[in-house]
Amino acid sequence: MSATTGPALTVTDLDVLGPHGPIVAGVGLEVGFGETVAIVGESGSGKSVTARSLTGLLPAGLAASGSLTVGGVPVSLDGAAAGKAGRTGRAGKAAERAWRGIRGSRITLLPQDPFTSLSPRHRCADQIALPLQRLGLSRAQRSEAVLEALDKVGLPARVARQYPFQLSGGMRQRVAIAAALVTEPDVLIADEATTALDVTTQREILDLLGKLQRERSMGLILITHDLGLARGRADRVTVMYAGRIAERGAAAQVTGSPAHPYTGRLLACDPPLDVTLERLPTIPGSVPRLAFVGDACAFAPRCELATDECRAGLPEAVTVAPGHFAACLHTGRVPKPELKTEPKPEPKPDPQPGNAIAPAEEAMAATTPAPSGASVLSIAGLRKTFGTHTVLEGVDLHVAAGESVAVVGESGSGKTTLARIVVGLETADAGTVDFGSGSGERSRPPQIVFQDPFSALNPSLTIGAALRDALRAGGRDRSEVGELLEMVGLPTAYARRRPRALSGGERQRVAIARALATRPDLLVCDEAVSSLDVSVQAQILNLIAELRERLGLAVLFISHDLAVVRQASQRVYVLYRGRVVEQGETADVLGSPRHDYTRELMAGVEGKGR
Amino acid sequence: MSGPRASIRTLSPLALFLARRVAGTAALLVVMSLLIFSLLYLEPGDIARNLLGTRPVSAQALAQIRAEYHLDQPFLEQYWTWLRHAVTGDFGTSVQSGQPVTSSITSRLGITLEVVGLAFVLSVLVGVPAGVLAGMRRGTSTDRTVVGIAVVFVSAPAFALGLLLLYVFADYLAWFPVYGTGSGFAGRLDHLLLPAVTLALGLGGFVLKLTRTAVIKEADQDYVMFARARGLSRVQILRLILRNASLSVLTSLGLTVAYLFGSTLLVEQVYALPGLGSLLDDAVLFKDVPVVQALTLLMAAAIALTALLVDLTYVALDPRVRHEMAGS
Amino acid sequence: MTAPELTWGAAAPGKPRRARRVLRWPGRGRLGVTLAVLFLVFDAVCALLPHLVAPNATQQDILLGLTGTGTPGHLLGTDDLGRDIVQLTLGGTRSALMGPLVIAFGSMLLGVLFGTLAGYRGGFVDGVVARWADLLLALPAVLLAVVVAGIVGGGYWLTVGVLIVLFSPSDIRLVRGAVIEQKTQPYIESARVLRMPAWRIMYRQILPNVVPVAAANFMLNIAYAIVAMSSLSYLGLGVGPGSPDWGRQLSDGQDILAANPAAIIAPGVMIVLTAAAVNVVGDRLFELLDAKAASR
Repeated sequence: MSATTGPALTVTDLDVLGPHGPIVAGVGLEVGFGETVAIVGESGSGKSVTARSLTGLLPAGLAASGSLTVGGVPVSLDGAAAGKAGRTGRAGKAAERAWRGIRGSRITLLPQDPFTSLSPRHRCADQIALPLQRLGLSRAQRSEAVLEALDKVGLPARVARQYPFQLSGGMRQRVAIAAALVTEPDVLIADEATTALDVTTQREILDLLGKLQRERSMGLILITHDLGLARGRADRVTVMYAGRIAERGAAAQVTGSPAHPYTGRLLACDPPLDVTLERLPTIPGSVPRLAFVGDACAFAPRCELATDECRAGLPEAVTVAPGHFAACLHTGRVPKPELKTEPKPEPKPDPQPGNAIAPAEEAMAATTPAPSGASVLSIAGLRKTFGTHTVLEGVDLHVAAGESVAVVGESGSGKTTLARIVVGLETADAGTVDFGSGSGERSRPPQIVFQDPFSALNPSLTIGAALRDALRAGGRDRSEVGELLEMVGLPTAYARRRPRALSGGERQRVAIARALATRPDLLVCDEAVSSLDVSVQAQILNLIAELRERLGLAVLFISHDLAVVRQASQRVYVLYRGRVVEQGETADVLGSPRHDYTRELMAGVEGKGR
Repeated sequence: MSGPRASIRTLSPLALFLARRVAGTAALLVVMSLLIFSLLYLEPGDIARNLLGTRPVSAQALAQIRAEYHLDQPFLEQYWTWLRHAVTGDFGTSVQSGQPVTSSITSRLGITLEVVGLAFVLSVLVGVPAGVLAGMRRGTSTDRTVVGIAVVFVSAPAFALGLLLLYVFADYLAWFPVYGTGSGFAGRLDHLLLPAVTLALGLGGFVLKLTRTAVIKEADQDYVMFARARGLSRVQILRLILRNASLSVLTSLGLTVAYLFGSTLLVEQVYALPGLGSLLDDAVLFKDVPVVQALTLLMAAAIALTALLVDLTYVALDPRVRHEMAGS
Repeated sequence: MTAPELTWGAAAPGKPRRARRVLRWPGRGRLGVTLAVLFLVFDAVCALLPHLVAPNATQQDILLGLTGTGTPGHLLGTDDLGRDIVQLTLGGTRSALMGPLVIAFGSMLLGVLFGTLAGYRGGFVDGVVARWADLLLALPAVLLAVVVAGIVGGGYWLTVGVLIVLFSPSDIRLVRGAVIEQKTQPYIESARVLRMPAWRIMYRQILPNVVPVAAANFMLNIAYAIVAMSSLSYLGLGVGPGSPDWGRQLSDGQDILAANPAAIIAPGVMIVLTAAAVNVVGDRLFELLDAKAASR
């Protein structure tokens, strides 16, 4: 490791140009040895492109410029457009060669998805040891180094001989961290490195990264969409919006007294875990592309404080406090993040059944009676196995008319299978699923909204055609397309559009409209807001709440996100390895969890324990 | 009846896979052989007369043929007799030559195996490295040139390519002999090289394209990006990619056997080589059904067994599959 | 409502990009694709208007007999029957392309029909279709066609029919794979949850996403069918002796190789270039499909 006096990484005036215009403009960043800096932004903010350009790994067609110094060594960003190895000419090759001297030894990028970041057909030891070969270490030295690296990340020695597919997601990410750090880089960039993991694993990995960073006094850059995570884990935070830096400063300052309206709104949108809000604050609209912004504040169209000056020119960075800057003309007028304590009056639909049941064993014994009101879903003794693997076992669940119920659990809990059984995409091996007699009319089968907005709509059908098909399937008149669109807050002119021309949030609105075309009594939302940016997520959660009120709709929320569950449900079932381990009113269960697993889940939530 | 059921459950996944795969291959060959046998009945005209060919037709000769082929017995029984003999290597008598089918096949097998084997080696030696090169340099002019050439060779019919090569190299430039098989190792190589190259051009283009596809698919994976992010050398990254791409290349190579058999049919005709391909051509034109039956069945068996072999190799080489098969 | 008036401004700019994409259609490496398309246009003219392009394709001049290249009035000379090589070659375009077009189209229809059924229904239908495809893939199509055409006999159109059946497994597999991929897409599952009838899901939701794949394979199948049909006629199993045909020309020309090499070079080059051109366009179509899928 080189001189520990200067900063570990400095970049100034970073611009990234893509085929359709600029993507990142004027980004500057400084990371000291032993310091953790978070780059926070929604999708389209340019945070991942920034991370890639700092390691010379931009995809083909993108070109970076600016000046970068890593560990005291200046690195040329120009020509780092090299993209894929050998894709460009001689200049690209030279740049690639120069980068190889930097990457690994000075700076390393840890990718997001531990399931794809390791070669499936190489043993973990070989993958970790690869960079050591170049350092001229002998075989024995290398295997010793591998064992040491595994030990540092808390993995047993046997992992060395194993293949990635034999490991869990969290273990794979540990192997990846070992592989990334075996060359002892000055700076590690973790690009959403915990997003693909479960809440509890996420926390372990973040703890591990923090520990290793302190031990090696390495610079750590956390790329994340999650301000809460940044608050808890970073020394300093840089907030990006539409390819530019909106605000930067000490983590506590930025999250405690934001100086940029965007940061303020973003903090407000983040659903709290401790209270249920009547309406979640939102940011209207979505992030624009930098190429369409021009010389103006990119946030102005969505900003309450915006004035004509904001639209007339690019706001300079203003020093709000020592080390705290914001690119805004109205820094003084940004309200402090309000304390979200006004609880929502809980509209209890019916006298509620017994509350939380503590230990797992008893949870099975005490069967909760169905709510006495009209039931739209009543599941009893549900069991589902895939091959020899039992996914669901003895699940009882009830949803009353108009009620909102959440099922919370991590991956492998069986929550998605449960959702699929409810809507008829899977059949149960045992138990009953009953939709009840409902409100007297004939009950209509429940409908579902899935997670990924980008595969939610058929690319070959216009929005109007998709909705007309749905109306027809529900026996309703095809002319109601306009009404459906208005209901989910979209203009009727959208009927002529293709899914491609819609943003993620808009697609999810259409998916909701399509599900409601048959006027179901129950809507199942399978992680329906998990893929959305925080501000958009709040919009969709508000929309669902509003629709529930207006249509008397019952909603079954399937989610891994406790904060979403807190906002979106009246009652909650905690699912763990296919069994309901705890259930009751959401406020009670999350307020005073009784089962160990629920407590563990609560503890895993990053940066919400205000 | 619980015996076999229980034993199936106790078999390891590997044994189960093997059993299923072998049984599938066997079933395929049985159905294939049934269809091949019924060729006898698909040919227009009286079977006995057809089988007699150009030999003088007499009541005695017809009766002898009927007895030899059990033509008075039911269809399935005839099939069974034919199959039983076929398995022991007896495919009857050639209508055209009057020789046993097996002996005309064995006398011509060598040439075909030499040409096909040489072509396979050539195409893998050239196609795989060229495919890796094109895949690693995707989008460059190198890639486009290499792929462009491959497309021409892949799409050109083997006989058209063969005739053009024959004209240029044997007739115009006179580097190679025009026809024949030659004698001695050097002479034989001299005679067989041009036919082998003809086959190898098409096959090599095919191998190149599938290697390139496999390499590109792997090069786009996250683990390659991570490997670059860790500063690994080009060679190290290439080795990561190759290990992962090699299995799908290997699987696809199994398909080339069928391609080779289809093409050798034409190439042997072009170069007048006395191999299995030209034997089949002659037999088809002469309606020599016993020879056609024997050759098609042999080729089907060769193709099916190659596919089986490739599957087994895959199980042996892929740690992931191996792990699942081991049942842990 | 959550101030929706701001949401539409953010929509991705669809139109200008699409227009540009069409204009730059061949994209990188456009030279090869452009040449291929031009060559296919030339082929199409020859095939559609043989009486204009090659009015004397079958005219024999027994008195003239076999001549070499550069004979007055016969640029590439004549064959042993005194037929003009240029005319004969251009006149052979129709039979070289017509059969393959029919084969590729028929095979595509079978592929879409059975592939969709097998992929969407699964179970028994899928099993039967898969076994049938296995059986047909067990031997090279050319070899099977040679055996059937040779033993059973029958002319050009019977051979075309046999090749349609022999070609269909690859289409069935391709379409089946695409359908299975579609089936797990959330929008298809949503349609199932909406209780849309299965035929309607297949016809309206799945088919539009699968047909482009089948269409791209249609081009590749034409290339293979050109190879198969010309191979058959080279072996003497295709068209009758009267009509002009490249495979037959190559077979006949082999005997007069020394006297007039153009007799094989001209049809040989035509077959190679035509098949290559079709292949290049087919490959490009698949690439465009991939790019489209990736940009979604």
